[in-house]
Amino acid sequence: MKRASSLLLPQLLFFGLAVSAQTISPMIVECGKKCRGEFSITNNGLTPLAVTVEARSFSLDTLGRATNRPLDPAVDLKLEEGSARISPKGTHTFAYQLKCADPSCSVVLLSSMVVGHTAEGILVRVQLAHTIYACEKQKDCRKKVRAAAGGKVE
Amino acid sequence: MLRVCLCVLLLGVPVSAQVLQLSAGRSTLLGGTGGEITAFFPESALSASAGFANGHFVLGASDTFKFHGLEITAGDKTFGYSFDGAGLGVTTRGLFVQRKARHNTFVVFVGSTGIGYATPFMVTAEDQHIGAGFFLQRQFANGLLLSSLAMIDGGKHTVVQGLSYQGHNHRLAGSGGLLQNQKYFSGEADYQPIHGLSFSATHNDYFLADHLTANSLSAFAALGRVTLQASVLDGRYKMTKTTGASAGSSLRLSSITARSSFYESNHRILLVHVVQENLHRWTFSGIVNQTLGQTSYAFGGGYRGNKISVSLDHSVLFFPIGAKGFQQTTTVQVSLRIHDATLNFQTNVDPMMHVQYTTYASSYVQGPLSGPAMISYSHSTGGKFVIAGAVVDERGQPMEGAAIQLQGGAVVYSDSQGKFFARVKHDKPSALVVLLSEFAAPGRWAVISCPMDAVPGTEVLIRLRREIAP
Repeated sequence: MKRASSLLLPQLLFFGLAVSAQTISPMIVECGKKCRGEFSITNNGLTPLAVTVEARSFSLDTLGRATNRPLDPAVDLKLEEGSARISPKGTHTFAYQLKCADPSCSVVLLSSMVVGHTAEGILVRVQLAHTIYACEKQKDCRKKVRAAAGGKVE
Repeated sequence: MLRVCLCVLLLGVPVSAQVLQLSAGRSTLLGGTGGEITAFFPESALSASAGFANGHFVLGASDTFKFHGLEITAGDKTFGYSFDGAGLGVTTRGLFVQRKARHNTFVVFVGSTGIGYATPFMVTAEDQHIGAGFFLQRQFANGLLLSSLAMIDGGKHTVVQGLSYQGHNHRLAGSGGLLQNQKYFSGEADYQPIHGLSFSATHNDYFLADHLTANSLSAFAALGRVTLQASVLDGRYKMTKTTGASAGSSLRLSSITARSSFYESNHRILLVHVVQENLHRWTFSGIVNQTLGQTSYAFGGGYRGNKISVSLDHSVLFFPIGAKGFQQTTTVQVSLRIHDATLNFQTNVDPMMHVQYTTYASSYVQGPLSGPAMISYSHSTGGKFVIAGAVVDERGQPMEGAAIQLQGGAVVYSDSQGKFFARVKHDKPSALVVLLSEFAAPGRWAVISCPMDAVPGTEVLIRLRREIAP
């Protein structure tokens, strides 16, 4: 018993805080002018997680780098939920409906969460992106958007 | 005496743990009834399990912690690894040392082996033999993956070597050696000449009460909305040979998929036609079976939500044991989430074609060292009416991470623009409460102004003030 206690004590004293990675799936989707989709956030940690979701339009430069901006008027996005509390080891699915009035729309849904929350400060702020490419036709929509931006298409 | 010490230690430790996980359940498939408590510390976890298996009381415990880049487990754990068609799972009690790097995995075990029960809700072991083992896996840059497994389990010896190669359009894998004193060989080859067309061949040996051999050849093609597949299977068990063949095609039109499959085994032909429709979170399927001149109908489906998932699935599986060949099976799965607790129920069909079930519940409890834990509330359940608003500080700047509770218990958080919204089912005012203790934002806050309630279709404004720490 004494030996077991002496083994336990160093663990309590010396180990730091473990921050588990959070995951999003899928990261990128392609769809037509009207689509209904969803993405899931998994809380791999052991404490509950508050997640907020914000929508942004974005444009790409020739190197494929994205610049976010407020949602374009041509995008009609209906999010089912704007935030959620995800249980430890739980997964939450956010559903949405999107209508695009332009020939193509590039939208990113940014999920923000705080890992390691304390009353005194934020330890880590994580932002995960779910990217939606909407075109007249779903097939190769991402390639078309990248090509229109002058980027290299694989 | 050791068990008493372990119990005292493990019951005392949860008081200071950051998070506790409590699980309990029963499984006819895995053969046990019991529960487990796990106490999580920043970089270690202590577990204790107790229950009944085959009428005997069983007890288990383990401590997992990190030490100089190694993950060390002292106690009960399953020594289980599978690669390239080979697999071994032995219940052990002893010391595990594991090192995982990007391209390497190395595990060493020393202790005892015996009968054990590894379930999602209980892990226990009973000492029977002296045991030791190691597992090594290395990924090379040229696509080669080398795996080595060795174990002494009392009088049973295992030495298995596996090698796989992942090429541009093909994969070759094989393993062989001694698996618990029995000669063993497994091979697999996959070839994908073009996108949407693939071929596969496998050979496997299984060691049940007798030697079982199974071989298969299969091909798959996808042409736009149409898929085609065909396979030939062959199994031998207790001098009885069972053969089977299958072919099928599917067509996908929008959210509807139609699939027809042909199965032949032991001179018996089975035709299965399935129409499946996916509507948002719902799945519906209709199944028509034709065999021996008889036609039967079945329906399946499921719902997948954030709080509940239910599915009823119908499938055709190949059972080489008892010369049963292709058989129809139905499985049911229910998963329910209430706050931080999950309840699961699942049926499975074992290789002897018996229906088995597993049901268990698991929950997390936040301990005193885990920081300001968020209490459990439900969220927006959907609806066509929207309650929306904004949260700002005393300077009018948007505030992110503020928690607002609506009538009915739903809690929403403000985003980086300070905005929040929730969908509600009824067009009537909903009471608002600012939950200061649930903020994801740092600091201490006080409410300057907050409307008593919010009306769907109008935006409310909540003003907060940052409190200076004393």
